[in-house]
Amino acid sequence: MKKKSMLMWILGIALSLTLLMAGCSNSDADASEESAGSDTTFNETGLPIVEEEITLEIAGPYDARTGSDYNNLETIKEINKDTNINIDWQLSPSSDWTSKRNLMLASGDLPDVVLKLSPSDVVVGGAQGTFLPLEDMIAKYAPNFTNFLEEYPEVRDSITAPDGHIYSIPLANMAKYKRVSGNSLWINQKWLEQVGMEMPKTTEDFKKVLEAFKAEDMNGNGDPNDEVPLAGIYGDGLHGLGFLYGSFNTLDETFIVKDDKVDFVRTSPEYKEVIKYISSLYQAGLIDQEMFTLESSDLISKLSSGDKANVGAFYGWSPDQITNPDYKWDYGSPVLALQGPEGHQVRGYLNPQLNPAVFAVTKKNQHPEATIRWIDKAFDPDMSFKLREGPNRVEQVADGKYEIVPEPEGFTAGEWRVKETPYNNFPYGSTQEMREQLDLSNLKPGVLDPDKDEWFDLQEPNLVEWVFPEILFTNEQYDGITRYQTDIMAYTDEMAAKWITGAADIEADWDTYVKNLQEMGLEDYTQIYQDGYDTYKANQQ
Amino acid sequence: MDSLARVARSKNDKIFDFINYSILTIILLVVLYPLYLIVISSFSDPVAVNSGKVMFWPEGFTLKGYEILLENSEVWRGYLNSMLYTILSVIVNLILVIPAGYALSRKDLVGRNFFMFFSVFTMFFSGGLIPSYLLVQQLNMIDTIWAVIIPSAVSAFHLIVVRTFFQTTIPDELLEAAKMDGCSTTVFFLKIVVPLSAPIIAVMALFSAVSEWNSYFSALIYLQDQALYPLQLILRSILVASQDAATVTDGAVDPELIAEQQQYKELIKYSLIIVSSLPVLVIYPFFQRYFVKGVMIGSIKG
Amino acid sequence: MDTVQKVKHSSMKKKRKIKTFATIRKMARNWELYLFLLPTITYFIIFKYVPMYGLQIAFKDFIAVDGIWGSPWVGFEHFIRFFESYQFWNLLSNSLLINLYQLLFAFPIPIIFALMLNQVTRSRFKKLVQTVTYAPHFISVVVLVGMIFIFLSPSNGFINNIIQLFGGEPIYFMGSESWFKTVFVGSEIWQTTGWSAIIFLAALSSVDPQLHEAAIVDGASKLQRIIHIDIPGILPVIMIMLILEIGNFVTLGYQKVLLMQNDLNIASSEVVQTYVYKSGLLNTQFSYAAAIGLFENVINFVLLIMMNQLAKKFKQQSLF
Repeated sequence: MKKKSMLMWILGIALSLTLLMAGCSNSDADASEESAGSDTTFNETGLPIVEEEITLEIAGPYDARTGSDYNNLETIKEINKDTNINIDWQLSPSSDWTSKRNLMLASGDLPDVVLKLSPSDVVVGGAQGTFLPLEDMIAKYAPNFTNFLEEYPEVRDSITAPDGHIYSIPLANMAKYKRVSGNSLWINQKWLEQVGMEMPKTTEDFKKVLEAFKAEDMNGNGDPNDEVPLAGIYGDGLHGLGFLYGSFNTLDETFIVKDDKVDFVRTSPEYKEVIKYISSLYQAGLIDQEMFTLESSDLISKLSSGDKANVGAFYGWSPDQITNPDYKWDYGSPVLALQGPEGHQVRGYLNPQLNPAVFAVTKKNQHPEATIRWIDKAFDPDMSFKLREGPNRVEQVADGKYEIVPEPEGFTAGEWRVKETPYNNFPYGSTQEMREQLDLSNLKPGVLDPDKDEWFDLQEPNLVEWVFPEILFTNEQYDGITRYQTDIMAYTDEMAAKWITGAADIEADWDTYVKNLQEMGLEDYTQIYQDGYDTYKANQQ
Repeated sequence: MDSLARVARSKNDKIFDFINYSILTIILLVVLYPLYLIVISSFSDPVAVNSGKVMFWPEGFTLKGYEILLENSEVWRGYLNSMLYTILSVIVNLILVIPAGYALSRKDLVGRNFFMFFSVFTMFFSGGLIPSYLLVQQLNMIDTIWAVIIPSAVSAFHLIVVRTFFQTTIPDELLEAAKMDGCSTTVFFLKIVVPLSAPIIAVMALFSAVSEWNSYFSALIYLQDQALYPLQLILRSILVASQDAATVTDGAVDPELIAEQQQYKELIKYSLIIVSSLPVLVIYPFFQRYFVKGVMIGSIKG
Repeated sequence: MDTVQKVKHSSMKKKRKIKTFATIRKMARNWELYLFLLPTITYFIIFKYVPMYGLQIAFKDFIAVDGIWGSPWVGFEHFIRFFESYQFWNLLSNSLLINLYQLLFAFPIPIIFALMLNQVTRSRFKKLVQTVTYAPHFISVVVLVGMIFIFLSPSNGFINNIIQLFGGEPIYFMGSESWFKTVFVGSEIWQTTGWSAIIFLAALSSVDPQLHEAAIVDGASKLQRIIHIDIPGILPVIMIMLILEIGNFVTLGYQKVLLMQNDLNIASSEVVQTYVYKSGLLNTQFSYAAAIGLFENVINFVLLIMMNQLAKKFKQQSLF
């Protein structure tokens, strides 16, 4: 009796309060419906962009290396110059940006421009009217960006939502060298010499090399067991084992497209062979037993610790930066994928380095045209070049070429490059021509790594166009993806780990595994990607 | 016979004391060693730390991690902010928790159970992030220090601890005696209860100070102005930055730049831990003195 | 007969009236106490109860532009989806098991520790032990998990070095399903024992010293006094803490779990809250997250009420 009355009390209070709040929030929603008024002082061409000074609020993340004082970055100062546009930056550390952005969008507390969204935010927000469609304004007021889109129509395809509108301006780097996977195999060549072996060409050879590394005391400290034959981080894009997938005629992707048909990799027979091979390496103790729990910083310290190398082979972009400077170029790469048992050695031709959702204009923005004219300045080829390479890092030399100014004392190579720029938290459009006008001879002379264009040229014959294109899905499709993705990916990761470590037997489990995935909605999940792909293809023609 | 029993007892007590002190010493070492390891790691070459060479003293002595941190002005500003927030939130917490906790401890308070239930209910059900954000926004607290202090100032848990303390330490007779003397509730509370509640005030101050010092979430969602950021948020931006790059589906990652960030993180990881924990560890013994004093007052009162 | 009843009725009414009157008088006499409560209750109303209207999104499909009120109702759809999800039973059993271990080990240890510390007469040693054991509490979760990985590393971790010293095989603690819960609870004990003991130490300080003096005269040993004086003395506090602990039964520090998770231990480390975090906040499925969160809170709340009633029944300290 007593308890009941207590509950009634609480319910009563809660109810009256909610009603109270209902009043507030409804009127609040109305207030935000006001449409953006066009401003009278806007100039369609030339500077200033607006006659009377305006201030735009821009929310986004910042990288620890660039700092958050964007208004004093050389590149931003140059963009702002003479435009009469001031920017009120509301920047959060990039580690926290996702939470902050999600909350901002969910609560409707919007700035004028939001940077770095997820593609689904843009499509959903666009459909709901949170973000303005930009395609007409781009055509009218963004000549630089329009030129860029004409040069690279695939960028336009990637940023166009299925409803035909463009809701965001991208960051795009179309340089070819970025289109091979950063996940390459690096092998200690000194060690190869020591065991009297050649750089391996096939998966079979590779295994023999690792066995030799394991058997002997490679670093000569008297302990034959303290070397790691092969190091990596399972499932990591950069340090994972994706490189091996090509030897078995597949790629380390969730979905691949062969002949316009979308396939889920982790139920394919090719995938099964990859896991079996990795499992044979792991169970023979040839792969670092900690590969499932390492963080990249741990891997780096493994690679760089000690006066002598302790790791025989690893996966990564380049030994530069992550292994000890004393012996980093002991590591060399077979460059091409190893030949598998069936003679396959493919690698994926990646999508260009492209983030479709870097800059979206919200409905709160009172000056969308001016905003578009302002951001178009980032696509001025000269400005894009600076935003990409760092304004102080490149120096013009004769015949239109640029040379790389080496980093001064106290800077790392990366810090030097992102200095005076907002790094990749801001749009730009970098082209292959910009890449070609760079003279790279100052960059790691005499060493071939993926920073060089030759690296790409060597790979080109073996590249396959199976990678699922960067596309925008519909609102409903995104719902479906988030719905299936979490469970399916967690389950497949878990099973792969069990098979590799030998906690479970892949042959015995395989049928149940496929069946379980089907129960979790794999078919629907795949169908969403197929549908998205079909729409994308249809829109291209 | 009486003396015999006493001998037996004191022998028993001696064994007890021996075991007691030994176990506590072992606990002391078990807790201390990992902490000690962090301290020596912060003075060691990261490479040596990660290869497990650092065990009893620093290897490859270096102050590099500290140097990097000292040069970072954001860290210092965050420090000052965090201290201010911590002091303010302790004050707010005490004001809201001590009188209310006392009131709830009184058996003659009509509706006491209702108020208790009313408070405990909030520990379990909350409206979630979005309405809380809208509320803070409507109160015009976004981007002010109050957003960091007020919404998380009190939890029902604190109230329960305080109430329980008063229930067990303030005997009913004391109140009756005071009533006889014509003492009003407020006077009784200020003159008699508060002086007796030093231990609980110290405990509450510690509770709220530590949780405020280590918190970052309110600051993360309610603050825009970086000049207001507390230390923990700045630390996070340094320590966790690169992890985010992997979780966000981002087609525009430059792998060659990620590795470098990892190295930076590796270099300052341990000095960051030391620098961020130091103030609490330095301030704590002062609190502890009051705390111990408070405990003594509490036991004398009987 | 009719009149008798009437009379009875009116007398009851009268009694009730008197009772009500007495209550009001009691309330009026203690008006200052309500003043004491006022700021705190107001605080709870504004900052805790007002935002509760947000709970409704668990039954809605939250759409940002329509707001919480304007989003369409979907009933129990999110709940059903969660109950039917592949992970449901696994999540629930992991959450419950980890909490059970916490209750069995991490809960009593601070009490024992406080009782032991209370017996220490050398105040400098006591202070040292206190200062040191509180320290881990100040370490952030990120750091703590980092330390766990370093200490338990199979190749060069401190613990495995010791195991190998005694001729054992190194154990891959963090890469093993069966070790996860042990490591989780063990590190929890390491971090919180000293700090959690504060409450019990404070309670011990209020145990009447006269009782101890009387017991010493009677010839009771230290151990006997702990069992017969100290423990009963702090039992009310223990009960309250136990009720609260059980009221949080399904909840875990998800950040720590999340940081300790990897593909190898996920089958035993995925708990309700990490699942909420992953499929909810990370993917902006606010409604789904709210539904799972609500489910969790309701279970916790029911457990709390049950514990409270149980405590009342056994005439122990209860919350309300």
